[in-house]
Amino acid sequence: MMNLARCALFLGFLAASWVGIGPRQAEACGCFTPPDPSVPIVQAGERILFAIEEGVVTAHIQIQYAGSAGEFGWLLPLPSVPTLELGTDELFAQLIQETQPKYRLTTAFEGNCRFGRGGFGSSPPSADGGTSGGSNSSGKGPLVIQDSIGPYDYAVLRGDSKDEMLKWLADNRYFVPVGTDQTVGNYLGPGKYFLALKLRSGQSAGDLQPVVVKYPSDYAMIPIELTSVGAQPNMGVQVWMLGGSRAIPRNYYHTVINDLAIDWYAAGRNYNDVVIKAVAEAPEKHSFLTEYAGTSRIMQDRLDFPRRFGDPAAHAAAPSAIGFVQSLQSASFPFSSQVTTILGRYIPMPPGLERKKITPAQFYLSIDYFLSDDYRSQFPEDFEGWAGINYQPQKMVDELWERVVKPTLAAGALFRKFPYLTRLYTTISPEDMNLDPVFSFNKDLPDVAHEHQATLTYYCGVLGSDDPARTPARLVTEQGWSVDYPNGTGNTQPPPPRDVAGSQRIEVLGEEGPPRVIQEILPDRGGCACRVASVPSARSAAAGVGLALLGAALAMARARRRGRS
Amino acid sequence: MKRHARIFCAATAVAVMVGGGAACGGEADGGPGPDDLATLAIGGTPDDGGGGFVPLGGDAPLIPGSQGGFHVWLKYRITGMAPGLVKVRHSARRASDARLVLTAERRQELGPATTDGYWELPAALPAFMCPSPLGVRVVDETIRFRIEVLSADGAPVAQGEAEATPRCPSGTHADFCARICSG
Repeated sequence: MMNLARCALFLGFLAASWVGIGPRQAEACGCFTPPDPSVPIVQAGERILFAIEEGVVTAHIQIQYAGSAGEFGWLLPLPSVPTLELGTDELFAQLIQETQPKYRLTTAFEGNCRFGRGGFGSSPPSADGGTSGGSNSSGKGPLVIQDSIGPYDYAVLRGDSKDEMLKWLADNRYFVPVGTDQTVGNYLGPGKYFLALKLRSGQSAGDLQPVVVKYPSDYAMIPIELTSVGAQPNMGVQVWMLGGSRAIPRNYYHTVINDLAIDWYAAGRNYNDVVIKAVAEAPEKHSFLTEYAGTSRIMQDRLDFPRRFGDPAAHAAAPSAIGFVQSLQSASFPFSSQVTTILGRYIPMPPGLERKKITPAQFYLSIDYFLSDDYRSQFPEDFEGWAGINYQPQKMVDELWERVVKPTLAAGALFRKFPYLTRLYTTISPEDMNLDPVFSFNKDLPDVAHEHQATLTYYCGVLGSDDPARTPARLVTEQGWSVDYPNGTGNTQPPPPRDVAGSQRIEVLGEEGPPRVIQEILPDRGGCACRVASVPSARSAAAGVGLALLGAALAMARARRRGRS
Repeated sequence: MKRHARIFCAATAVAVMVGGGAACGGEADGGPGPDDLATLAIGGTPDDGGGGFVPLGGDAPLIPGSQGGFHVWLKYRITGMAPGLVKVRHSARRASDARLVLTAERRQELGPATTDGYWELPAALPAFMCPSPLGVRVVDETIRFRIEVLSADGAPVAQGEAEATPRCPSGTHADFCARICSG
């Protein structure tokens, strides 16, 4: 009786807790503003690096946009007048590479296995956890600052009045898409500001580059409701946080994905699908995963290694355009769209190469070949309509330093200043973009590795086996799940279980203390095989010895069959 | 048997409370005791976050602010401290269960005291309340605000606490505030 009462009390507490953390709605980052309000540009995803120190948030925001330069516009609500600098795409390329979740399958052999050592999962793994797919005014109007930086014209506007702000944007050709009128409401008010960007005249979409916004705030937040205007279903949101300890989603759940759902045989190819499924299992579909949490040293020297970019005077002294580009190559310039777009204004790519699907990076990396006399005489048609070279080395150096070198070195310095890096990820659909995620830190939480490993063991038995497809095997994942293949893994790579939960654990992370687990599934005790109904060849548990014996029996049976034939 | 168990339980609880109290009040590290600290008074300011200083307490309006969030304006006055650069740590906890609502840290240059004997933070700080942490209702809950001033070497030199109850504004932001401040 007492136990029943306690149980009821406990359940009541649980129910109350659940109500307490129950549904909320709210609003929320930058949105793209195309000129034709009826055609929202599809926003491929969000990539942001936040660094927070002493009440100042520094946000590196990658602007991902597919469309023409004339149709580009961008709007970001801010708590105060920001400072604006240029960022670099290379920061995100390096961050993605260094912190990418990886799923590695190690193959082990027990008994007399006479088949290869390079089975499933031997190819380099890379789970694509990324997104599918970037004048002062003291007057009475909304304008606070209007200026240009790099490829952008920008304006900082007061958010006191929606009508005034939207009118100013329209009058000055910062366009506002359908839906913004409704979503912008909660970001408006006295003391609030908006940063609006558009490409300067003469700039192309290839000139788009990340922006760095600094503003006073104790917390990093993504105003995601504004994003919903041009977002696509299950849009990826990647957030890197630099600070003194592990970062957390303050007002979103935290999910640990179920690694039994991962396609280990294909190096985690289905990772993003698992994430989508896992996030959908969280209340309100509001949850982030931690893909990496640990030292920021993994990013040190990636962007600002010693002597990178060389001496600007030496580049400017190059006697020819080809020599200039080669000088950049030797100084480890990335031939990113930012660099090739700048080069393209002075050393344009011959139109015929574009038709041959040669990329700008390929052209500049092999410029001595493509602009050689031999090539020109062999393919004169590639040069029809070519404007030719307008070699202005000093101008090119100045632009490269402003738009590439300085932003890259500044980004690299962040990883020396802040000791800890966290990578968070979620997928979210427009209809769920109703709560701005806020991020903070918790020094009590452990590191999270971005490399994961499972082991597939073949049990060949005493008599041996020479056919991995028919040899009993067991897959044991990092989380301790095991899947048995008593009849072997078959001639094709076995798919991951389809009907298992995407989440191994859903929890609440606070700014102190351990996680509060809301829901968790655990592998069977003892590490024995789990029940995976959807895996055709997976059956109930069988211990290693049993599998070995079975393997031996199968080997004997095959040996007999071979003997008969 | 049950009686013995109850006595043991009660004795243990008393011991833990006494021990805990001793641990909290102790100065095992030889640091300054409460009497050694400068006086810090936490205040608020009128809704616009501008001038003025009113002791923090009672109802505190939630002000629409950072990127669609809500904050409470905080100010503080320090008496008995020399000018200089210090580190100021703010925190806020829900009084009912000590759940953390806010933690932040920043440097501050303290100026000389006025003729009234204190130095006052010139502009109010926005203490970020909402969106509140998952599962932590902030609105209409008593929140304990704490401000600690640390010397360059991290030693506490002043601290103060105050309690207030954040309230959502009426009008256009009311529903939105209630949604994102309710945990």
